[in-house]
Amino acid sequence: MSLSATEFTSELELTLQSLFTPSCVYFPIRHHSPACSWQLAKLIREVRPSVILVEGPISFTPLIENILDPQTKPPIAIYTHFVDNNRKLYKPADDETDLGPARFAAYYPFCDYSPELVALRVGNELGAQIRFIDLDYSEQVLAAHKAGEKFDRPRIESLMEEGHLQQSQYLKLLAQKAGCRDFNEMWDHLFESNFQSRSTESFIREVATYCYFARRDTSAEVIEFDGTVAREQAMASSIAEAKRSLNSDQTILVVTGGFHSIALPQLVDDAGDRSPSPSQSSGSIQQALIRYSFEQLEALNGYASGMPSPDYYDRLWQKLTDGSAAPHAEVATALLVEIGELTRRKEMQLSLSTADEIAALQQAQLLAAFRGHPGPTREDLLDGVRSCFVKGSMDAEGIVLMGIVGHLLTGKDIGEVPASAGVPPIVTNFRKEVERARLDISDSLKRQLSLEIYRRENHRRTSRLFHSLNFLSVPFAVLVAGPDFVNGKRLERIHERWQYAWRPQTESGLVDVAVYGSTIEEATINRLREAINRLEEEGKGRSAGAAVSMLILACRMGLHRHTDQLLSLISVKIGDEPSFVEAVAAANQLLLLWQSREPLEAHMLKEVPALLRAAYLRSCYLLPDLGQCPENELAAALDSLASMREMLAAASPVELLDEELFWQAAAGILKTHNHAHPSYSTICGAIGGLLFSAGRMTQSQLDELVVGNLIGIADAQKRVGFLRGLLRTCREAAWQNAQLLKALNEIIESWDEPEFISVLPSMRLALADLTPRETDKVATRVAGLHGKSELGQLLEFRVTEGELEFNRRLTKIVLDALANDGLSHWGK
Amino acid sequence: MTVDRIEDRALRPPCEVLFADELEALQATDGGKRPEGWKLSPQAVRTFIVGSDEKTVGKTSITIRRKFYGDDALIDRCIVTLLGNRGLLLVGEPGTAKSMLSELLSAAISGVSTHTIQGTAGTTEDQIKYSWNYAMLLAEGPKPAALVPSPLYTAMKHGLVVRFEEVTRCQPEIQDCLISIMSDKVLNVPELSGSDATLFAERGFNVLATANIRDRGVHEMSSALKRRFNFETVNPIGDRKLEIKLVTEQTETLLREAGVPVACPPDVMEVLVSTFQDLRSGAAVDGTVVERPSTVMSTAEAVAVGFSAGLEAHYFGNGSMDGSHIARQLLGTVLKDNPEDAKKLKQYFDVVVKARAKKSRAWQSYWEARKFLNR
Repeated sequence: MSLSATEFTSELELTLQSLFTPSCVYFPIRHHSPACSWQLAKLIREVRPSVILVEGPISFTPLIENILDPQTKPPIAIYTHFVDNNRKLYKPADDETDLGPARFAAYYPFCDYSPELVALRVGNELGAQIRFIDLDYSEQVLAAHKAGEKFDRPRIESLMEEGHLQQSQYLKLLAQKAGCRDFNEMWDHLFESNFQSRSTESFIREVATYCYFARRDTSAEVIEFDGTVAREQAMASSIAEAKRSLNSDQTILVVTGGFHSIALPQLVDDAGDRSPSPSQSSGSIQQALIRYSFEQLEALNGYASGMPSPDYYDRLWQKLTDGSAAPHAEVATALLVEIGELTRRKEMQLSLSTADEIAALQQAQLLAAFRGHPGPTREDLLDGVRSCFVKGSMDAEGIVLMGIVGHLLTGKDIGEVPASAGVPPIVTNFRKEVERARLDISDSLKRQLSLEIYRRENHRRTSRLFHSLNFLSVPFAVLVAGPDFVNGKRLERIHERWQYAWRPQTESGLVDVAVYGSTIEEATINRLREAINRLEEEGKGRSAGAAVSMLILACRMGLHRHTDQLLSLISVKIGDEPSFVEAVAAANQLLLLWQSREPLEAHMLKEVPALLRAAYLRSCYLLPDLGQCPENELAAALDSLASMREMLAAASPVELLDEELFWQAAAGILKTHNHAHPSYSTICGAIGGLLFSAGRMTQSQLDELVVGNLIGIADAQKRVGFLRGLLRTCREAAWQNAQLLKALNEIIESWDEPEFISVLPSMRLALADLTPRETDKVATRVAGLHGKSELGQLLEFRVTEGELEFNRRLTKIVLDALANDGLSHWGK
Repeated sequence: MTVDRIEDRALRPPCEVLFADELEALQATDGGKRPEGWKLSPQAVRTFIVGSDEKTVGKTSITIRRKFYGDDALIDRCIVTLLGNRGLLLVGEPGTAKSMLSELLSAAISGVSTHTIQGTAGTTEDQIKYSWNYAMLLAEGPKPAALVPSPLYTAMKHGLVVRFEEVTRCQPEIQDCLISIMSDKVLNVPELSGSDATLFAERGFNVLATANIRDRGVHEMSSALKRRFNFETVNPIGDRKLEIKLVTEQTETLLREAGVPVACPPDVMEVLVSTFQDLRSGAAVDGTVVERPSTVMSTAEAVAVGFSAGLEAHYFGNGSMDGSHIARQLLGTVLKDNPEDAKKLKQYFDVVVKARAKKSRAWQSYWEARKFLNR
């Protein structure tokens, strides 16, 4: 529907007028906005509403008492959890494995500066009735499902989501025109900077106008699709019901996200006498008031639900409630000084002086003035930091500093909830999981458990629980034996043996990690994310292998759906990997992950083949460097070369890897003729062997290579090195290739005794891989070169039976004597 | 008197001449408060650089073109820094339009962008501060008339912004002569006496320097001098579409000026810009990691490659540009002096271009031209 400009303006004006009537005031908020909170508190004191209705699931209303408890200290959240036991939402298709009933979890966080909490607190102080009016979480999910949204994976979401605003094209363009970098900066620019000088009514009108345009810009389908329509109808019914029950001189205050506020008055009129439909929730629902943290809140805000940098706005709110005249400037000053102190304490390369702090504050204030803000907003402050504190380029020196600033603005606060709020959900979740796995925790005895991780789905799930608890450092289960997928060891085992025991520390450990999440899975995800961040911060010092190991660990814990960040980290690490050996190792680990289907279920990770390919490409890229590989890494390099062949063989049926790249790079090394380097001959031998056994080098080419490297080079060590490399990748050359033996024979004959002795160790190393039978074969050929067909007597007969027996006894006596002296390890 | 107009003679007129009409219009309609010594208000300076969004300025019929593409908040910070006590140091990789931005800022603020010191390894303190007309010095002794002012001296005297290009190419000891000038805003001329011996900077004076921090042949900067500057990083353009648009426009302009009637097909331009963006960021769009070459893959270089590719297509080809022209011209850009870079470019072709060869004709011809990389 397109309207002319005048129609537009009149429609907008009508909407705005409907928000502010004597009987009902609709206050549009943005979640976690101090400006909204400040104006809202002012409004409540002025209007003194008898009823305050807040956007939030109806079933949260009984929790208000706990929220207002004096012991409660934000940040806190209401955690709600819904399991679709009746299978209304998700049934696996015939060809899919059943993942069990769909699970949903959501948070409804409060900070001191959240408008919702301010409404509860101030309303309660003035004796207003307070209720939540939104659909219950389970109904929200069902409504969205009915409207067509798909639920094929467990979700953890925020009940303060504001995606409609953040995704609005209109607001995006508006931000661009206003010279703002993003949605948050524009919000601060428009609303968080000079809200104190505006009247409440004009503030409401402006926020509503802002939301009105975002809403005009959002298609009806989108609003329908995620269940917004159903929720708004439910809220409207509750408001209409409240209206009916009040006298004419009483006022209702409705506090909802601005996106809903502008639609509600019309819906309330339409709702008429309809009473709210009774709850239709099915399945099991659980909710609890829990401790929350600013770090969690910041992470949740990553999913478009409210303002970032909680600690920054918390400080701002403190200043506001203290009645400060210039809250923004005071917060900016305090933060800049703290940042300066931090850099001095952390002894950063260029620590900041007081003069820098003054300059940054001046910069922030000038920027604020330039952009028309009464005091520096968050972005003005950050720009001040960028200008004055970063002494170098933003992508080098800037990263460290902006990281510190980001942490500081996020804050570390963790809230408190009163004892009456009950057992933390994570403990309940643990008990449930334990019951499901039929583990006995009635006492603290140690119990053994053997899990068939290949065959049985439920055992796999128990194994994941144990691995997750270990990862969370919750003392409960110990892995006694089982396959080690990280190091590729003991893979033949198909069972995991665990020992578990419940201890009081188990539960206290769970409470400690409760702040990471309300279920074990969620806490594990968040801890994993933290570990990944740490790995990222460690930078280039660590190899790709560490990241791949973490991916395998994540798969052990069944967190396949939460590995996106890890996968991209691996991709970056692989790209940075400087060592051929490490790149091949990472590729091999990824191949292992991809192949061990059941216990790790890595086939659910669609990116693994792409990563494997990337690791392989990186290996091919680094391959030419092997010609100059340091001597002490030669053995590992040879192993890696050999394992690349196996990797190609394993991956070839699916055409995952472009074989040509490897062979081209390998053949390229032979052409570099870098014979001056001590390792080059060995690598040449290995590559010659690879090419020959893959049929990419003819017999005569190999002969040429052999002659060139054995006869053509004077250095005995390099000659033997070539032999070592060749036999490492192509043992059969030793007895099949007449030229090799002939050349070898020639050079050994040419050596004098001291030279022979000096190369003997390397020679042994080169020939050590041959089995006894192969050694015999080679020996026969060598004998043939000297005109003999028989090897002669190979067994030693000069020792008599008696001597042997005597020696055995002597050995035993010596071993016993050593054992008596506690030195038995000498005899081994 | 014959009218001798600089824009008619100069190969590249300075931007206060090039955009004289825009500056004039802004000055005439500028409603904001002008800081002392500034020709325009900070808001008008911003408009001069980021454009007036196709709107005409005041009652004039002039629209202000956008001259700098990228982060607008960076412009805010630069302007505000120049308002304050500290100098402004623009850092970033070569070819990110640092010098252009510095020219635009000084033209808008002081009305002149030519008070410039070019930093080199051979820059001396005389060139930064002042030197003497030695004939007059010997004949008449030290007096103001014998003094030869540097751009910095003139800028201090008249309250202008002085540009210092490539400040880190100067020796650190030479750079450090800026320290006292920047903190005290005073230049001492001990050879002269009386009031001539100290030059106090007029309001409006500031130092706007540019530097490459990681290039070869640059020097460290002392932390004392670092403290006198606010550092602002100018990043290459990250938006692929925008960069394609810019490169296409600029390449077409260059070709037109050279009288070469070669079109820039969109798919070929995409190949060109994608290559530059991938190699610059070290990752292709699909996330494939590629090795970054040691040379700078700037937008300006992309334009240079596009231009040469057009010339090649015209003079040695059939007049239409395709991927192979880009591939051949790319060599000279990426392969400057580091043989490792050849390996990296080859890897890029093997890993990324090969996969894209099926996508379009331009990528196909690009891939087929890889043989030219083996040299």
